[in-house]
Amino acid sequence: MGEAIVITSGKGGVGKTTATLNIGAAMALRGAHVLLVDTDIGLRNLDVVMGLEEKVVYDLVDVVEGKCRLRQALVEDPRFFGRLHLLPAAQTRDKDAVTAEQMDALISDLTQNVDYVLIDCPAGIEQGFRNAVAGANQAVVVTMPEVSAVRDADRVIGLLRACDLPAPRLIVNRVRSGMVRRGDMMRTGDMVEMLGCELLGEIPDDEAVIRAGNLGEPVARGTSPVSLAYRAIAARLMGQEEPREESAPPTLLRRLARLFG
Amino acid sequence: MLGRERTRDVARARLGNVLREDRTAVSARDLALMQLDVLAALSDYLEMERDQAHITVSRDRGAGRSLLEFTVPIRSVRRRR
Repeated sequence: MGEAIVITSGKGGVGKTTATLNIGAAMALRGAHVLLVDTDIGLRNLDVVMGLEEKVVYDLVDVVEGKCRLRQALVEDPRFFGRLHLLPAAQTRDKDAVTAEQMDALISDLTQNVDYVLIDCPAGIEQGFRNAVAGANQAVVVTMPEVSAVRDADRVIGLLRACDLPAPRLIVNRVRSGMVRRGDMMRTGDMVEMLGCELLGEIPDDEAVIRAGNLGEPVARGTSPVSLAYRAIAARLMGQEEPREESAPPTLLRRLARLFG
Repeated sequence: MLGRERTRDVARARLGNVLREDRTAVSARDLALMQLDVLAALSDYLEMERDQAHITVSRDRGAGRSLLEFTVPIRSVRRRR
């Protein structure tokens, strides 16, 4: 029986979908069987971010309505040797096409066959959010160092606390270390303190994410700082804690590797 | 850096204000009205420095509750029959 982790944020555009893909990819690289579920019905995105849009035939709503078998709707990511699959959202339906009860039943079905089900939640706190959270047994909140994004994260954390879930953990995305040093970007520590929740990881703002997005590839496979950050987050979620990057000053060798990575 | 305000400090302060309001769900306008009502309720008993009155609602997440604090300097206690 696998874990079902919902990836949420409240605000749109903070990198939920990219985070879902890359955490999933990093987990698959560690040997886990992972299924990504796009619950953003009507605004399907995860298939495109993964570069699998041409392969989508059936979707989540088709499965729920019994129009196809689950196997037929799953799309395999060929780069991960059968360890990473996608259940796409429907594009031509709306959020009310599925109820929270149906989602709950679907997700518990899905966890029977894989180690991790990652649920990509739509922006907002309405029906789509309630559906995405319904079947989850863990929650991750993605935010970025902006007042509006942290405010929405706080709202979502409040809503998640009211659910029957362990305390949500935080990912701070798009951190620009130069701006943090110059005092022009909020520190991750400040945000963690204000939100009062545990930090899962910090992801640097990196052009590698945009390049990977253009290509429809996960960035987690590369050697950029973003790739390393996603792999560390995946390890933590899998309970395989790695020493934190910032705990030891980088050795010359590691610095060089990063320079040429 | 010299002479330039760090925008992070502004962001943090604004965020703090927004979160406080969101979490307690008491708007600045309602706070001001509450303060007037409290002052009116106490005016039979106390003469107060009304312009130095201060009301806040803060959220204690650890204890899972909100706390209302009202402070006002007292000028004198009214004699009541």
